Amino acid sequence: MTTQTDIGWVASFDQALDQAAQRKLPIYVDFFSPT
Amino acid sequence: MGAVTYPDEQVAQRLHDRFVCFKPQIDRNQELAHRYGVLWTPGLLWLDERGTKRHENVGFFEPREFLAECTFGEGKVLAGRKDWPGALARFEEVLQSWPDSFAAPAAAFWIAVAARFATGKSEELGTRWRELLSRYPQSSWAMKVSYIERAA
Repeated sequence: MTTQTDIGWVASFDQALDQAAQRKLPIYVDFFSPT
Repeated sequence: MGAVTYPDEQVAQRLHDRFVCFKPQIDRNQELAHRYGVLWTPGLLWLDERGTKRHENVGFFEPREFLAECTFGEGKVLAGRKDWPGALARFEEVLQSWPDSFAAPAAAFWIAVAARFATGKSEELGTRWRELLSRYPQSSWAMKVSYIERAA
C-alpha cells in the first residue's frame, strides 16, 4: 500500500503569503468551482 | 484537477516540496479572483512570495502537462527575482523532461532570455531562438521570434 503525499493546502491567502515569506517558496493557487 | 491531477504522486510531491499551495473556491473568494484577473476555473496562478503574479493559466491539465506547467511557472517566479541561472535550469528541465508538453515552446522562448541574462551574452538570444524555430516551428512562440530569420 502506498502513501499519497499530502500537498498541504493552506486555509487562506494570508496564510499562503506568510508561509511563502518564511519558507522562501513560490505560491501556487487553484481557483475552483464546486461541481 | 482534484480527481485526476492532484492524486498523482509526482504532482503531489512537486507541489508539497516546491510551493505553498492554496485552493480557493472562486465564488467565495471573488475579491481575490478579481485582484488577479481570474475569470474561469480551474484558474491557476503561480505567484512569488510577495503575491506578485508571474504565470497563469486556465483549464484542466493532466499530470504530465501539469508537471511541465508547474516547472515553467517556477522558472517564471525565479526570473521575476532575477535569479537567471535558476530560471534557466527550470526552463531547461521543461524541455528535457516534457519536450512535447504545452509549456515546452514557451520554455524554449524563455530559455533564450534567461541564458542572455545568466551569461551576459546577447548572442544567446539568437542562438536559442533559432533552436526554438527549429524545434517548435508551428508554435505561437516561434511566430514571436520569426523576425530573426528575416533579419539574418
